Amino acid sequence: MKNHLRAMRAERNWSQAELAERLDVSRQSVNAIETGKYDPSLPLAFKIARIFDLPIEAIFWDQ
Amino acid sequence: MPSPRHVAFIKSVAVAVIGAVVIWFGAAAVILAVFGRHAPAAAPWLALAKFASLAFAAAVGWLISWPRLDEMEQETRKFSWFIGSTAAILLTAPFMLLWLVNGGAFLAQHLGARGTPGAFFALGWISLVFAQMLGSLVARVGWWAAKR
Repeated sequence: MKNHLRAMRAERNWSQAELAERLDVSRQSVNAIETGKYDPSLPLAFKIARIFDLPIEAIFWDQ
Repeated sequence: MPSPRHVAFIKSVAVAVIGAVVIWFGAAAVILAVFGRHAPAAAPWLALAKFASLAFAAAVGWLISWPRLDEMEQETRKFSWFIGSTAAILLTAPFMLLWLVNGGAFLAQHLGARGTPGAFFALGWISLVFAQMLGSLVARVGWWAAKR
């Protein structure tokens, strides 16, 4: 699974730590999701989508 | 002012510690009252009470810590325990077969007079748990290296 998370986070000038706090996960988790090494669960993907106010498919796509 | 989540955490830790102390001292008081202060028969029951208090603290500790972990950390632990401990069980099986050569003479020689059936059983159980924990740790390091 690929995603636009890093670019979207950069657009908002959020650090990984800031995004992690908003998502209630660790900074390591945000980094792993951004680099595609960890696929978030559906609830976490929805949470990410809500935070960025976008549909899930605009953030994640199947590679 | 601590947050409600922080207060809940402190309360849970207090429950774990106080519960373990109450189980240990309460059970010890009952056991000593029944068997007498220096009765040898009390020893295994006291050990069981000690184990129960530790098990209670560990169980509550796990219940406290697990929901506080984020989903990736939970995945890490599930993966490392399943893969690591299963691998450990499989990898230690040949050792068990080696130990059975000559009817376990190798172990009996090392344990000497302490080599009772109970001691052999306890040694086997502890060794397996240790191997599983070690395997879990190795798997966790592997996961961490792959996902960092």
